[in-house]
Amino acid sequence: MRSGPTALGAAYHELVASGVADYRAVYTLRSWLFGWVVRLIAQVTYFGLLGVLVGSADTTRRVVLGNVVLLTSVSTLFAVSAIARERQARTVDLLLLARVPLAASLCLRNVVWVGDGVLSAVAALGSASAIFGLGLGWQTYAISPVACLLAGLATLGVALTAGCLVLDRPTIRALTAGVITAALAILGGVNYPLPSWLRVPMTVLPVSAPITVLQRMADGRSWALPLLVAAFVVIGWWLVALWVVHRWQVGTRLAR
Amino acid sequence: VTYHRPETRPAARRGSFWASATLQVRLLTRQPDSVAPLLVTPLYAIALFGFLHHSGKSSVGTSIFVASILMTLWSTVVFVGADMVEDDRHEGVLELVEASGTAYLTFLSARIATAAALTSPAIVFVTLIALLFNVEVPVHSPLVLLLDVLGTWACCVGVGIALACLLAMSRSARNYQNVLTYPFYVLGGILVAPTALPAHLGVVAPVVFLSHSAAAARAGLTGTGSQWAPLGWLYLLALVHFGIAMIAIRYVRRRLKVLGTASYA
Repeated sequence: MRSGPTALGAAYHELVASGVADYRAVYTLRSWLFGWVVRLIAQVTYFGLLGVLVGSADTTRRVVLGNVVLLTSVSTLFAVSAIARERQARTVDLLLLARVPLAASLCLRNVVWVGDGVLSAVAALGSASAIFGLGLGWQTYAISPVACLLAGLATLGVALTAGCLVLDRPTIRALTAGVITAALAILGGVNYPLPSWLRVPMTVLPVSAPITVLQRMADGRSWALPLLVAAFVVIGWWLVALWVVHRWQVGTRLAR
Repeated sequence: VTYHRPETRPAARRGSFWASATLQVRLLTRQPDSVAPLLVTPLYAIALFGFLHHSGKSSVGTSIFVASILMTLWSTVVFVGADMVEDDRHEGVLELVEASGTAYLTFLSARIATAAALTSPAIVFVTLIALLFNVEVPVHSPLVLLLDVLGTWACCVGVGIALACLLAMSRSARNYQNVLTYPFYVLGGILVAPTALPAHLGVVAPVVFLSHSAAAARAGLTGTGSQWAPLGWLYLLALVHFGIAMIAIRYVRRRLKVLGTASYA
């Protein structure tokens, strides 16, 4: 039996692999492509139509970029349900017994949703760009996976936090993810720039800074600072998630 | 299980209808997740009206108002109504309904109609949001709007039953449930009239009832455009959807009886 760092490395690999296996039980390549991705492309197109409604190509571009980042969060928030299911499937008991910390287990088992989010968001950006003829520069396409990845990783922190909070209340898991998504759509600067008094506090939302990165890149403005902020937001949410998971774990042990 | 002929007396059928509707209200209030679309989708009205407020184009307020309401109604049908047959099989309800002699069509119609009717508070909520954002929602023809709401509900019930049957018969169909929301909002032209959609996306709009529902609502609110033609199409599609629903339900009941898989319980 292996021990030390090698064994932990193998365990981490197994956790990601088990997450991917769970994911593949949900989607096949065909149902992902023609089911999920088509829906996400339609979502970006639908909100992009707001620009058509007001007759502004600039607005269409801004809204499409905002919604592309939001899609990463929409996909990643499936982790809330996945974490709540750990309770129903009783796998959370096994995770508690494992040598790997619970937060790391939950994170690694759900990191697949971030990959899903980034891939489908980039596909949606390409499709919406073709539908609306956005004429985005290659730089915007090049940085979009990075911005989406940062949004996805920060959202994973949110999902771990929310998932842990609803772990004992599985009947509200879909509602929780839905309310978080709606809150991001309203307060994340997705469809419109927020008023200045709201902009700074809402930077803590996982989508705000990555959206600014994409929009600034498309406008040819400096994007380094929001990229740095987005990285800090990821760290911040992961710290929150670590704390919440730890609290839940302590509470569970006391309950036993 | 002994299968009886469905109850055909009108009084008994009315009783079954109301009992089914009451059951649905109880089910929805006990499972907060099952009403998620009902509670979450209206929140998108805030995002849409927020956009309108920022753009300053108050002239398109009606379109956003109509789109917000139709989104709620349709997502409820897709996520609440469409799961019913499958849920009934899991819970062992389908067998009980078959044994009781209540027509399954009555049972399903009442429950999907109840779920659709429970979206009414969403109309009030969206109206309040519009007022909050200082968006004026004119009412040019209340009769057209009332007929539009009734026609849309009828279409929703028909589509809901057909979807519920489809999802109960095919496990893979469930994976495509998501395709039924935003693609239909786009193709149905609920935000932007189908003729203004980019990349010829509007060609299928005539067969999507949401497009007629939205057109009638916009006409009923503003008084511009044809009011009766979209209503006519809407009611025609409601009949077509009901026809498909009746065929689907007959097929599903027969198939589940033959296979003996009416219940997983």
